[in-house]
Amino acid sequence: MLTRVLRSANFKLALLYAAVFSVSVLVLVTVIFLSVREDIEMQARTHIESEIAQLMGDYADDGMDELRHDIRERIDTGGSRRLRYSIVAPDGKSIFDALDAPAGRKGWHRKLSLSGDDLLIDSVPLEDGYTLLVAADLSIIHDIEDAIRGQLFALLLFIAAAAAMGGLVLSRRFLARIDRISRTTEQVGAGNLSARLPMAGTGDDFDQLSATINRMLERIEQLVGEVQHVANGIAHDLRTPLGHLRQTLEQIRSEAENPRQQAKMDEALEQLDGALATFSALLRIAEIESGSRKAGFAPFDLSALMQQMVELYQPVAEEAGITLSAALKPNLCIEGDAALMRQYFSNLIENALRHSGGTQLQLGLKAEGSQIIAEVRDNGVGIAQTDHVVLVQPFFRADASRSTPGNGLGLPLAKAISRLHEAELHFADAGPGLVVQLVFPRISAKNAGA
Amino acid sequence: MKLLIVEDDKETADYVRRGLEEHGHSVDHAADGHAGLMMAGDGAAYDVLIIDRMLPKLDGMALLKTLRESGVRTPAIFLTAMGSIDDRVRGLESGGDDYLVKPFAFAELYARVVSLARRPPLAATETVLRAGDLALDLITRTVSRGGQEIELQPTEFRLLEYLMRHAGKIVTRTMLLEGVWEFHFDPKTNIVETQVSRLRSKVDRGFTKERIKTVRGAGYMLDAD
Repeated sequence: MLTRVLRSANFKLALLYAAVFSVSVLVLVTVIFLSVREDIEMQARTHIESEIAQLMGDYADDGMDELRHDIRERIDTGGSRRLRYSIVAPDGKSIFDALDAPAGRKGWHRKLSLSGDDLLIDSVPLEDGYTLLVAADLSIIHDIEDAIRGQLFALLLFIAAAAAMGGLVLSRRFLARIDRISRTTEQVGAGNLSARLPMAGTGDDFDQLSATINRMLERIEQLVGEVQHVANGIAHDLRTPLGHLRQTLEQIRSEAENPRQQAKMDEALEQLDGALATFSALLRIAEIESGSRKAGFAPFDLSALMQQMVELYQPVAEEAGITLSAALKPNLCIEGDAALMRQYFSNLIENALRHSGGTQLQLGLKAEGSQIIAEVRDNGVGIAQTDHVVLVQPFFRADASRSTPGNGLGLPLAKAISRLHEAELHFADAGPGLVVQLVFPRISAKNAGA
Repeated sequence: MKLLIVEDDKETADYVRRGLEEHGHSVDHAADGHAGLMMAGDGAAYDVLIIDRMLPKLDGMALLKTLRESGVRTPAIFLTAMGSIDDRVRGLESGGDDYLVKPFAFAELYARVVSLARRPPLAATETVLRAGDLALDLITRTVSRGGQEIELQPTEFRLLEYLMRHAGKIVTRTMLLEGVWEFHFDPKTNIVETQVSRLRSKVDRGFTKERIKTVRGAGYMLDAD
């Protein structure tokens, strides 16, 4: 599950989100910091300008003494956010409240004080070569910068983790819905055409997708149903007139006195029965594929059933010059339809007896791991590898078997029976000959203990 | 025998009636389920009922179910155009004694009707079946003829058991396939013929009287005398 989550497109998307989100936060923090710095500087400038304007007003009115008095007053009453004031003599010496910084230029400038404070300074010339310096301490900007720097790494880490977790949760939820979709489509693929996707009822993208798929399934089921209905209808409705025909033929046969006519009628009846058998096989395949037989599934001893088939067919095989043998592991049980399994083995055995052209026929049953494998193996002419896929298509006949009678429905029927039992049907080259394997996926509880 | 056929398809009804009458039996015909129910309501009226599965007014299964519930035990055989296994099981569950898929050869239906008629009461305690000098022991699973043991394979034993249970009556190939090997389909090889001839060679070898007889165009019969 975890690797699936990590591999999922959704999780990758979540990681991308995390990256984009982190970069956005970084940019946002930078922008905020820059604008805060700008703002602090602007405020400091305005503050300094208004102070200078006031001080210069007093200075113009009352001279240097008043200026000193004003400054002294400000220093005494100002809090921690107070500005710094200095008056520098023409010889460069601070005569009042040194700024603790090397002397600078005229006008606005920035300077680091000796104690490391970042000062924004404006200097205004006074009379007689004196200069008034007013400075604001901007160290707070560095404090903020340091604080952001210190937190930023932790912040980014947190954002990335949160985004990843969010992605995990989201992708897990999405995966659950995708799982539901794939489970349902698998069911449909396996023949359960009435399976539908559940709707969350939220009308989101998934619901819309589910609705679309459901509409498609609805349509497929309807079409398949129609095809099946038509096929069944043809097979079924043709049986009634053919049945009447058979009754008439039989009547004529019983009334015919000429042995030649009788023989002809027998031939006609035989041909008709062949056609009827084809219809029966088609209807049987339709019945099996409808899945309704599953209701009657019960556990039975497959070993015993196959043993019976061997005993039943041994005399026929002997007459055909074929040795029918068995290698059956005893007491292997499966859950299924015994009547259909008989038909399955009967079809395969008769196929081999009639079409394989071999001299050996063996029924095998073994348990391998969690699988039960039932096989029918002959040493005849075999079937070309390329034909293995089309073998189970209705009415397909291998070239070798065209000369012998048959309706080409035996293997499709076997395929339908295997599908009903959720078993896999494999054809393989037996070198020489053909081996047909029926692989049941799991051993029932009864065997597990054996 | 007196027989009732409940069948809406007139052609099939005529065909069956004609065949049965040719064999000297008397046949009544009902064309729908209601008529069939009325006529068969008296359990003693008929020896065997032949009922189509799908009938107008009251379908065959419902008809027989009603009859069975009201205590009519007359043996009944279903005729059906539906050959599915499910359908067959449902037919037998509703009280049918046999089930024949259309179209069928008349000989097939006749053998089954005769086999159903006057069925000997089920003897559950019976452990040895006998036909003349032939004896089959259901407990020890042994067969002997004239005191001489005959060795049979399990599948041959079941075949002989079926023949002996129907001794004196014709059993068709299909009846054997269904009753002995539970084959509800038509195999394409002559397994029945081969099995019977193999059984016959074991049972009749060395005896002048042939126990297992072939009835041409119909099936086989075990001579009970």
